[in-house]
Amino acid sequence: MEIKVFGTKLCPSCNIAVRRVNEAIEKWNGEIRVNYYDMETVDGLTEGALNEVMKIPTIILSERGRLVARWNGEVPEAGEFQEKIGNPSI
Amino acid sequence: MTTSETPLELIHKRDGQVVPFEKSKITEAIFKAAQKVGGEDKRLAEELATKVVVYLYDKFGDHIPSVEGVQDAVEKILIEEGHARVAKEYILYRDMRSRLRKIAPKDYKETTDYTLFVRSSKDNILIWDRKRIMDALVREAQIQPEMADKISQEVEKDVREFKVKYLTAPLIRELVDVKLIEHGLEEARKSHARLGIPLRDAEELIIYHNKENANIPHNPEATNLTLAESIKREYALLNVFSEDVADAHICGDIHLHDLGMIDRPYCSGQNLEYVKKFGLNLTNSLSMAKPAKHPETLLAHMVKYSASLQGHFAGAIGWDAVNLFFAPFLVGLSDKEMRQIAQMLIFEYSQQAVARGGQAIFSDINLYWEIPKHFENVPAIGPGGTYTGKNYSDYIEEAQRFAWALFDVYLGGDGCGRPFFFPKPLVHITEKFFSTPRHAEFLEHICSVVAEKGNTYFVFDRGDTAKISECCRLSFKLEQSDLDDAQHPWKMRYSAIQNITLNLPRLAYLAKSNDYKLFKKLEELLELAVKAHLQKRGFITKLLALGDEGSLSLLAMKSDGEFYLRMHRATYLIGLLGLNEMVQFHTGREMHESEDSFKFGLKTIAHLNLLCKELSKKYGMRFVLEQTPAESTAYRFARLDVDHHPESLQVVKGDKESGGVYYTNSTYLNVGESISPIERVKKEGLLHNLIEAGALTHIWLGETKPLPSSLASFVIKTFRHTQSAQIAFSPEFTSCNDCQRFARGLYDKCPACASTNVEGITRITGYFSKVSGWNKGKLAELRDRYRVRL
Repeated sequence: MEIKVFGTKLCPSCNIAVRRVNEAIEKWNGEIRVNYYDMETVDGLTEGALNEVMKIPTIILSERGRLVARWNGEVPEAGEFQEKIGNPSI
Repeated sequence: MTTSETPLELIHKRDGQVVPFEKSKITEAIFKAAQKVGGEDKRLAEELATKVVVYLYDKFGDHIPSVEGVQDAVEKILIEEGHARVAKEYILYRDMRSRLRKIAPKDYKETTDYTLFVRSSKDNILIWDRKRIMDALVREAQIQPEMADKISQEVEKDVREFKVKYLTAPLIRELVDVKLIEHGLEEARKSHARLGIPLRDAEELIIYHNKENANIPHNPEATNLTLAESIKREYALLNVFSEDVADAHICGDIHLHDLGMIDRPYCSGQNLEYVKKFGLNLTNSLSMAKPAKHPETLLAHMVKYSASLQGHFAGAIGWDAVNLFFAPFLVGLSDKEMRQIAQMLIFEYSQQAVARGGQAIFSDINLYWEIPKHFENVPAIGPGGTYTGKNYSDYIEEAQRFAWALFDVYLGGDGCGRPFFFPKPLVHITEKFFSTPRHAEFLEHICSVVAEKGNTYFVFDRGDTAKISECCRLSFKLEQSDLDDAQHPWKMRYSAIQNITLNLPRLAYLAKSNDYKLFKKLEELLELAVKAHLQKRGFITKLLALGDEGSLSLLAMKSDGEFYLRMHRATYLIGLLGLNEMVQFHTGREMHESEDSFKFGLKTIAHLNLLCKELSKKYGMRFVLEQTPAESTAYRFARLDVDHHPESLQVVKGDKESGGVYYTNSTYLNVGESISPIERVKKEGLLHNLIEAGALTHIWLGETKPLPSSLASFVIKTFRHTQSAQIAFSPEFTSCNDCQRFARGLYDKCPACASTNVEGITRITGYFSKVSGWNKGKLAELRDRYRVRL
């Protein structure tokens, strides 16, 4: 599972989105890779353009290159997000 | 009893003559001194001159003042009124003139018996008088009178020794300029320079066709345009821009577009409400027209105003939501009448090749099937410039019927069935478009125009964005303040002041595959472009400040309380050229060849985008990226690089043997590659969000004629599944000058009558034109273009 979060440092919703993602993946013990992209940096903006990001925050969930879920310009509810990433197998 | 402007009537000249007193001469002298210290306010100069006159009247009463007395008075008033710096300039100037008078020969005939005649630049023959040389040197180049005396004597000696038989003012100036260089006065030489072109070049232009811009025909008006432009171009490089900027342009690091139109902003977008509300009151015309009451009159106002604006802007003249703002004038019209208005509009624009330089007006009309959200609740202006009592949402029926009728006309083509070149129709595709009844029928209708003639441009406004498009692809995203302006649509006037394109491939040659170096050089080049923008802004601001008396008086008119040209809302364009070749040289692959190369291209543009934002903040101006139309720049940069950077031969496109070389336009992928159209639109579209002043993907159709329904589904797919900002489909045609018939595809011979007297027609960049007018680089690109089937 790979998660991409696009936002800027000063946007409040982006900060909430980052927190939500961090909380949700805690129990995965680093098995989920999360990349944060600051749209005010060259690399962030490049990745954002490549992923067709039009609004911030945008969260993209993918599994081996296949899209699992995507939120454009909104922060998903904790439950909804949790459901999409599922639970680690024991 | 009559009141004269000044109570003073006469003045004593230095030679004892008594001549009429002219207050305007004082105004001029004060203004000139003020200009030297950056002053621009002519009215203030006039007020000060008035004070001088009052002072003189108090002092001299009925006595006639002397020139010296008047000059003393000017100094006194300037100082008393707190204009010490201007006073200083004035005193310096006075001193210079006085020294000049002392040294200069009084009467040439007394000093020599050898009489020379000079053919002056003002159509008369003058007796040689070296005082004129001195005058010019002091006045134009601020040379000290003693040095001016020396140079004029040297030139006189040369002229006599050379026994010049055909003596002209330009020749004398050339001789003087040589002397200035001999004396190490190179800066002065620049100020004293004469602008113009060699005889042979003038002949070439007057007799043969200038192909730099395919929208310039060959006729006497066009020749005037080209000749005037060549002088203004030189003027701009010498006098508006600093030397580093001018040199960067000349050697092709950057391209300053439309230098020959240095005294105009670049392009302009406006709203019909301005003409509807204020009528037509052109500053230089002899009559004023009240707001139109009939659709035909409104149309005439719109076209005349466009022609007038074309004389004040270098590039495109765009109109927003034309079908909507026409609608209140179209109530109750039959289909036939509606069609007639549509036909008139398109023919009036497409045949306006009688205006500036014999050029058709580069005109764009923006059209909507729906009522754009930001205009829904705006009170409509109707005949006579008065409110109709309804909102624009009440005029959807008329607006749609008119849009339909316009496309009927495009579908039919001109008298021979050929596509209209102008006005370019831009249809905005939005979320609301798809929720508006009969949108599918309309889409099919405009796609049938694409299939037959190619005219339609599709502009995609996704989400909440609203745009106005004007130039080849230039568009403005409307911000909140614009949406507030939408309540008063006549306020919605936007302009780009200048366009400067960066030669991207050259940076790659210099960076030698080092990323850090490349980005550093990119930054430096952008900063230079910004410097050039500041200089042009300064120049245009100066022209505007002259108000009614300035050359841009039309743009300084204040019908709604502010200048027609709203400088605070203006943009300054940074054009992009040859991204593909830059990436190719730097990474070893073209942008379509590898994901990494494509991403590097994207990163370059992202970097520029962020830099533009930073610089915008720093200077309080709007610097935005644009896809340069570059119909001549793509050729010019490539040609210069082939000459001066031989490594460019590895990446330059076109035919290197014949010199028909070019760089890929703006941020496009290689035009010759067989990339599927949707893949091209998708990939190029990923860059569009970073190019805020607008971007476009071309789909070259060649001779194929797709079904309107396939085109329509392609348009929908583009809106839904890509980030593309705009697309246009370009078919190719051959028009026979002998049998007047018209065929699809480009042929050397007419398919109907086999005549070779044929003319190819297709899109050169953002508009249709005749292939015979294209430059070598564009012809090479045309050969390479990959034509698709849909």
